Amino acid sequence: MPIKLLIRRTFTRQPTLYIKLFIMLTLSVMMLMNTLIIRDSERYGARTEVLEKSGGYDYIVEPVSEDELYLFSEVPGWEYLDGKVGIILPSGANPSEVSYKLSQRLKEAGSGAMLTSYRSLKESAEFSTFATLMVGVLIFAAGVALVSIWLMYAAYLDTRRADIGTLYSLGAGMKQVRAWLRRELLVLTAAALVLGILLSAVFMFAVIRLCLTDLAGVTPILYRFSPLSMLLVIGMTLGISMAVISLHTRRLAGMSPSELLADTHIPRSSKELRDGRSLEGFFTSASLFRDKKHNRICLFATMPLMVLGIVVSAHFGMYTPEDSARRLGDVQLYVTDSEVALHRSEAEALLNALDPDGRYILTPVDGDTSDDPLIRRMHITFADKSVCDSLLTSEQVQVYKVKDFRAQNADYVRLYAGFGVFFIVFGLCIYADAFLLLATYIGAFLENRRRDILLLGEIGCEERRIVRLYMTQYAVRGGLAILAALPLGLALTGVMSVGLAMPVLPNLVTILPPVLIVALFAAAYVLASMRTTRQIIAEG
Amino acid sequence: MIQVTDITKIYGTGGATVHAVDHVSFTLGEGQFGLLCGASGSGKSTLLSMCGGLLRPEAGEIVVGGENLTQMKPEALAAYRLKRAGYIFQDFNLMKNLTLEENIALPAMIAGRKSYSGNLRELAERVGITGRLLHFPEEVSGGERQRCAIARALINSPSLLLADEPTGNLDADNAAQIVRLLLEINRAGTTVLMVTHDVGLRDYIRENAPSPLLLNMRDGRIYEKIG
Repeated sequence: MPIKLLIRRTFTRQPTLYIKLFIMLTLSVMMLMNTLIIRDSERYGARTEVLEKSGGYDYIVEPVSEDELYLFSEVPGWEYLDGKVGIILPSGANPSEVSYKLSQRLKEAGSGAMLTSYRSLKESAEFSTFATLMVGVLIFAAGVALVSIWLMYAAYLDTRRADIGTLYSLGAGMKQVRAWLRRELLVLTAAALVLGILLSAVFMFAVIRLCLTDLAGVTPILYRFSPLSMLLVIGMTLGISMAVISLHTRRLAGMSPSELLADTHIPRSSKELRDGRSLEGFFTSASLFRDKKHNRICLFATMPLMVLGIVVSAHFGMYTPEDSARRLGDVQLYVTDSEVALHRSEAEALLNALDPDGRYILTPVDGDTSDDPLIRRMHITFADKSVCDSLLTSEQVQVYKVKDFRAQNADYVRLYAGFGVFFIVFGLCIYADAFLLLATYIGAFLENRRRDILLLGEIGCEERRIVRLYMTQYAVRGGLAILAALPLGLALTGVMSVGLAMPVLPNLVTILPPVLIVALFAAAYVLASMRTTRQIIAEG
Repeated sequence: MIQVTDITKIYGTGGATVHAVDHVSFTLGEGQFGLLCGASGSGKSTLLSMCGGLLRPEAGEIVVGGENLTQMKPEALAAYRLKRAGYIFQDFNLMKNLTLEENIALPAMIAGRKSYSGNLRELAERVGITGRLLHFPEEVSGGERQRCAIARALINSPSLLLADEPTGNLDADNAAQIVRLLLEINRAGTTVLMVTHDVGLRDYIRENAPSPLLLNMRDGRIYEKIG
């Protein structure tokens, strides 16, 4: 079987056949690789942050004076570090026992030193919700990659149908044809892997360095490219490609050379032609009932967009602060053991004493009627973390109850930033995927109907009407696909909401943007089909 | 050479079935020139496809050179198409990305033959396309494409040549040349089974072939056998 000759000739004579498939494969590789780079970068960033804070120690105790060092006599692996003590536990030590005993000794001795544990953070320095999210995204990306490569490959095989039929009729066996197709897709996949991984590495480097600069300090993302992740992507992409080949060749094996050559298929009958039915209505319903393949393509190309749009939009809606009541301040002050309200002026005086520059925002939790004795809580949002730290350790604040929201707040910012990157990266890949897929299919669909289009013109149908006939088909199909994808998007949002244990409820404001994007997208390809139809008429 | 016994081919399912070939039987001897004639839709191309191993019948048997095609596994059927039967299509079915030379060589390459260039040159000369071998199908005329398809069908020296309206897309001059070429191949000992609806060609072949067999078809059945 002249596999090399066939591949070489197709590449030189009909490069577009390969280029579309290659772009789709590259985008799929990028989707998978980008997900893993975000995850690795988040992990690496968090780990680096922990290591920076801990200096490599399992525990840090501070402030510690030299006089207090006797308290550590029974602790293994400690070291005095100018005002603080760092502890690296030996492998045989029991961490919980050591930390408990040390805390007790410090308490009994009346020491003001605080024990901070970095041990568990060092072991799994990963924001668990973000990690769960990334696993979900990876599965979603793999699903999108499989469906889009499968559909694009179906389009590719449609254009190669005659060649495959010819090879069969000349005596090539199924194994030989399968070997040819497999080799072809493997070559393209290998090239796509090289380019996709390279582009992902550069693209994600730029996104993390440029888009996340503003979040430095709260979002511990440091660019990280892991060879293990790369191997995982290579394995997944090759697996997807092989699965696609296997699915399609199984279908081809069931067809005779004559069927392949003649491109014969017996159309399913549409509803009976009735009097008074318009040509547009007849054409549209016949196309919807008979061209089931195009229904599937339209649905699969629309669904990821809708699902992605709704999920992202719903989460953005959740994390975007709406009003002061929902905004999470860094710290909240309560009055402890007292019926007396913390007056706003008192809180301001306290904060002014700590930070004369006034780099904070003070917000009464339950409104701004400061004379009301029920107002006992103040939100304080700080621009500088060190001011917040000094507030929490100051003696003046000891009389109040303090609720520290900073960790939770940072988590939300991280998640929000994560979604930002997710939206940039996946939006681009998936939208490019879908656009390419639909453009290919519209091209192939209209090309197959070239004779019909010309015939309609020959029997007296106006050009405008011919264009309208095909436009209506696509508009109706696109609209139905959007409606069909909507419940799936909502269901997946619900599943993610449960998975993330966060109340994510999509509403009209969150659903509308993706619907508008998909509708605009649908309109774009309807216009594209109109252009192609006009072109065919002009050529004819 | 070919023994067809009571074969039937049905298209469609349920109420929309069409008996494309309906209980057809005939025998074509070695070295004979068989002609399947009839109007469009009479089932002649379907019958030829089944003889070429491109389609399987629903019932009946096709035995070619002692081998029963209807009982062959797909790989054995592919080997039959590769080595025993050459097939010529009305619309040529050349691979448009390959040159004429590469198209002719394709079956030899599929069969894994190492040396075929001598045979290829000889065939190209015989069908008259030596000067066009490096061209792509879209760069040559319909007649030249069909000659290329004939050379391709002969490259593995099959004992049976099946031609499905080989002149259907050609003008009168080119059609006559192709028919003369097929007669020449038949005289050299290759059994030929050809489909045509052209009465003029049918009569010409009947007059010039050494041992013609005419099979007239209508509604999927053979209603007349001459020869």
